[in-house]
Amino acid sequence: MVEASPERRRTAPALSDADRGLEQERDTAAIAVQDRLWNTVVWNDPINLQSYVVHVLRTHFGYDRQKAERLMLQVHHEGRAIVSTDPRESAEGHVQAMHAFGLNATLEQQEG
Amino acid sequence: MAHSFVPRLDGRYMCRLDQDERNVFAQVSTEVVQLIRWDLRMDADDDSQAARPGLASDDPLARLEAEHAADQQVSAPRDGAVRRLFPSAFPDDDRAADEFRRFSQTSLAEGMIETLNTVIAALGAHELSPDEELVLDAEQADHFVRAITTIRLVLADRMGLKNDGDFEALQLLRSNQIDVTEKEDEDGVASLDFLASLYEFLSWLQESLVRAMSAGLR
Repeated sequence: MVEASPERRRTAPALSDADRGLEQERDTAAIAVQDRLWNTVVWNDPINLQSYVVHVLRTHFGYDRQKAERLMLQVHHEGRAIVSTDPRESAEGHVQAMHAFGLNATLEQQEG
Repeated sequence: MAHSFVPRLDGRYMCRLDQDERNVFAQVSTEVVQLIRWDLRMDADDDSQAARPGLASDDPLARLEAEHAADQQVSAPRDGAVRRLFPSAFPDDDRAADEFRRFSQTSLAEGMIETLNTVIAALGAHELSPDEELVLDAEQADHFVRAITTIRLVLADRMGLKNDGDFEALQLLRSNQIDVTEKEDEDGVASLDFLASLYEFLSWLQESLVRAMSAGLR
């Protein structure tokens, strides 16, 4: 599940140049920390049943059958799939949940 | 004779397992609990803790720090099967992986053990059922489906399954060999044939339970 990125605050037109500079710095810092999203990656393994992987994706993420099956097949054929993209703390929670279900999952920073 | 899981009209799930099947299922569950506890050193001696410097320090801050450090002690898995149960969350970043392990491994392990114990209890509770029925509610079904995965992962490690198709290859070899009915060889080590039979049985059981549970999902 991709969460919407926080909107950048617009600099109010009444701000002085000095204030504007400070706003920009704060915005950049906020974006750098908050906008960094992390992928929960599930890896293929030769043990888990395809039906079980679909079950996990539907149960934990609430995905419908089609989405869960599409992701499962991607794991199966490509060796891995990004099953969710979230802020770091949520992503850590998803990876823990995947491990609790016996899936092999890792975290990686979202590209770009 | 086993009958795989089917959904019931009351929202629960039913299967039929005879006494031998329950015993084997409960036994392997118990062994997996023991493996996890032992490999992750979850029952470390109080003696070994007391030997740590700082715990007996006169300085209260040093004592506090030592206690905190002792609480933070998390043993990385050593056994191959256990390493698979508790995989690294950051394969390219040792420091992040260690940190993740430190804050998540213990609760993950305790959850797995609680799940296996729930299964053992459910299997034992139906001991006197004449028609061999085992009925699970939704919460128990969730524990069963997770526990079966945990056990299958351990069995797979013991059988050396590494890639897609390995179990099928093993089945082919078994079908061409003399049937081995003993559960253990002279050294008491579970035979490959036994592991494979158990693995197959649990796969079949899990498939039916997942199917029954998904009948309830919209």
